[in-house]
Amino acid sequence: MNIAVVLRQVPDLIETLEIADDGTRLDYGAARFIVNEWDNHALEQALLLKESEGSSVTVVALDFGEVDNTLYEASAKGADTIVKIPWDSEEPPALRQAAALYAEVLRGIGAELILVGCQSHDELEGPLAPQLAFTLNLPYVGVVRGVQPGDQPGSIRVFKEFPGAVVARMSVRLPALIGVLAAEKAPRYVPVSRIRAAMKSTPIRESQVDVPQAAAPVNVLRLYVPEAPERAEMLDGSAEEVAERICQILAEKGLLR
Amino acid sequence: MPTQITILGLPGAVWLALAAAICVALFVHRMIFLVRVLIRGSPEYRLNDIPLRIGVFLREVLGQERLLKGESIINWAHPLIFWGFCLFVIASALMFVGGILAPWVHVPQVESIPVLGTLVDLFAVLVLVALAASSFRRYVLRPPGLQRTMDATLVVMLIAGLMITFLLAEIGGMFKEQLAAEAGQATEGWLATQTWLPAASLLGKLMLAAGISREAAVSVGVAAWWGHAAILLFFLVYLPYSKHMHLLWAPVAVLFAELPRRGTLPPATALGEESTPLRQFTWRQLLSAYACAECGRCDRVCPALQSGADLSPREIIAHLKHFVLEEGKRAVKGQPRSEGRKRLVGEEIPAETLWACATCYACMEQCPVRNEHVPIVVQMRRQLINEGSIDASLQEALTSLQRYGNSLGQSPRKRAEWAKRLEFPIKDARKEPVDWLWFVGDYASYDPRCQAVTQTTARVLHLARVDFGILMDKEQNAGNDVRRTGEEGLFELLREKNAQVFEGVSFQQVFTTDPHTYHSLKNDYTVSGNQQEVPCRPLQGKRIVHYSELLEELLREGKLTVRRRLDHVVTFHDPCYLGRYNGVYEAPRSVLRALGVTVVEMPRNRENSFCCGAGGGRIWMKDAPAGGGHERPAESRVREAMSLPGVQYLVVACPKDLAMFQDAIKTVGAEDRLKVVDLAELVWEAVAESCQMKAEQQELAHT
Repeated sequence: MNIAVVLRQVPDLIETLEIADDGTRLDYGAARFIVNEWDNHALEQALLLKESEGSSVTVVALDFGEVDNTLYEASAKGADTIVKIPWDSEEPPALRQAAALYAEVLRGIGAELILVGCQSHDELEGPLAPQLAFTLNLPYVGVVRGVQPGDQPGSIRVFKEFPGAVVARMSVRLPALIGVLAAEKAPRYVPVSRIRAAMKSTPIRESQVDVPQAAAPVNVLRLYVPEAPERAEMLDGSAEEVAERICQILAEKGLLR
Repeated sequence: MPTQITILGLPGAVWLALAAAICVALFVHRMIFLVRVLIRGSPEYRLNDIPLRIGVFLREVLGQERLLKGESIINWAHPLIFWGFCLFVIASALMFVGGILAPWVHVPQVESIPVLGTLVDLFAVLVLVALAASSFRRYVLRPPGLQRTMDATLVVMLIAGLMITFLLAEIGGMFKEQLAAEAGQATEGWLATQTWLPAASLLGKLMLAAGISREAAVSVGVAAWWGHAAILLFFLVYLPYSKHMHLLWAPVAVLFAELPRRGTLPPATALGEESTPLRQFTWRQLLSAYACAECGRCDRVCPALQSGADLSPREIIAHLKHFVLEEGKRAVKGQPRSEGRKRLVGEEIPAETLWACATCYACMEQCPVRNEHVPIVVQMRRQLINEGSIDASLQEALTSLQRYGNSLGQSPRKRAEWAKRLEFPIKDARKEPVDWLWFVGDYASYDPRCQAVTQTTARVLHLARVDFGILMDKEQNAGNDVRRTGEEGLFELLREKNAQVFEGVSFQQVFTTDPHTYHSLKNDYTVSGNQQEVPCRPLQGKRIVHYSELLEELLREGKLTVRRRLDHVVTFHDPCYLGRYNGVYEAPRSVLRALGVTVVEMPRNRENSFCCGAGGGRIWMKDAPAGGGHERPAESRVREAMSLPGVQYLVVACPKDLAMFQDAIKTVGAEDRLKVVDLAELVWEAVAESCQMKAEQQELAHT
């Protein structure tokens, strides 16, 4: 089976996010980047399938954030091919633009199964996975916790989670795109020595694609960190004093006459 | 000589020579095999500091130093048996040479050599007494970890047999000489030199008193002589197959011990498919398998084993020995690696066993043959890491270290937050030259409990007018515990990043409050596995100290003056990486004494200190639930401190200890009884006022 995985870079929430001066976007220049947690699960799921089925795994990522490290790490974990899509901007592409970019590269790879994290924490216009499936005209199942080889050739079995911890087991005919919530096992640890070896031994394939122009359907008016609510006031003293103070506050708020 | 007889038509000397030749050949054959296996290990440089090595060899092998300082009974029994062995090597050599050459020349036997003969005679009895005592210990007292195997029993019986047959042969020889002299024949043995043989003389008299004739005793002596020779030859062949192999290999192990520094690790060997099984270990690590005497001292001091973990250092070495001999046989025959056999790492020795080790060095401190359990465990962990076989919490810590340079998953930008909350600025060592570079470490920087202590330390140094600075957000975890989890690649990455930062800093000396960091900077950064290059050049030749040493110096030189003598009664916990690893025992105690506090020692102190259980990356791993009446090492240590009458404070000199013992005190419910306090906090309590005054006076003088 030929599997492709999309790995996205998202701002690492370990650092305080900063808003750009115009107040409508994140200051990506000040951010630290990390691989999207759910994409990382998608990669792990692909590697588990590779180990059980002998599949080949191609990882596709946009040239954004700390992408090289992520790609080498994926290679050290066992990905066969690592592909980087050129991207010049300091900001990530809008949803449909991203879907068009990934779609063009994925078509060239000819993957039977595409695994993408079913969400990421910087999605402003909705999740990428179903949009990518739509662009590629592929069947899509999202919020999946585990992908296994199917009973028949050319199919897979997926476990889709519904609210209330209800899990449906589904058979999906390939080719298909799966939105991964979690792999069957936690993403593996890869020692630094292997990553360093991958840096020397595995070339990153640069994929040349035309950047599609797409008007963003969402126009951000203001981006801001949640404003702290007014401070709570702790009332001390005897019951009478506290009661008196409550009355006073209610009166101040115009709730008591 | 007893060989001057004819057996089955051939002279006795010929039989003896034949038997000796066969047995020596078998012995040599086995020894060659063992050496051929050993040289299949990875290289490890152990030819440095030869005079020191010889000194240690003389003290610990010939002088039996570690045994003399060790556990009761065996602390005198083993040295007696060993020294007896050395004397009997001479006696036996003379016996064989004399026996074989008897038809042609007379070779003086040991009983006819004054002094030496007396010593051997006495030691025959002393060894028997020592064997009885050590057997009493093994079979009646039964200390945990000491095995009661057939092998051990057989060896005791063989040695006892050797002593008894020697004494009987000696008595027979004496009577034979007497009878010959009485018959007017020439004597050239014991009688000629009149060597004093107290044991043989006394036993001979007892034999006569028991009604045994001298002629009978002579015959018994001849039989005993041959019996002695037979046992000796059997022993020679059996020795390199038995646990008593340690007799041959322990001296080699001590000679090539980890010297002069402790806790340096060999470079990671090539792992994976192309590596042969034996090459996964260094030759010195393989040698540990040969040298182990299975005495169980390591087990008896292991904090992991005592807290109920499935970790026995002795069994790890036993598994290694089994592996070495089995894989060695294949390797020597040129056969491919074994298929189907259980893998050593992860199967024969489960991963949980290897992860349970806190790398506290207690086993190595105790080991009389200087076996290297910790590097072996780390080497096995390297294999686990290579396979990605690690638990989730350790993975989280290592991933965080890769990304952020700290194990706590904190932003590097927040590393120096503690410094911003001080009432005085701390120098940014990257921007201005400093005398002392303070390498703060993760826990001291980020852990809220430790941050207050870090600030107190800064205040003490500020008031003592120490010129110091920190690396702010550019400092990364030094990598001590990372290295000991087996993640060598990550350790090297951290060391490279820190070395790069050091390059641009002007400093003369380095200090840290964290003994783990201290050990790493002092050893892992300045000594490479092959001891030929310095991995971190900016630290080359720099003085690196623990803050306890710096505080001791400041107090001694009067830069810190004790204004208020403290009347606390305290006990001090020796951190493993400060004490056992680096031998710093006195500095923290000197500081405490200078403050006026009364230091009451815990039963396990200095090199016998009991680990808090945090080292070697254990602090990042989840503890298995302590069961079966066991408690965690830190809890055991807190109870030990609590058992001391009048002690109010458990003084620590390690940020990890602070965290571990504060937790343990809550777990055992001792918050009202005992308080964990850092050394710097007590110093501050005693010196603050005076230094503040002094500083103010100086400022007044300046104005």
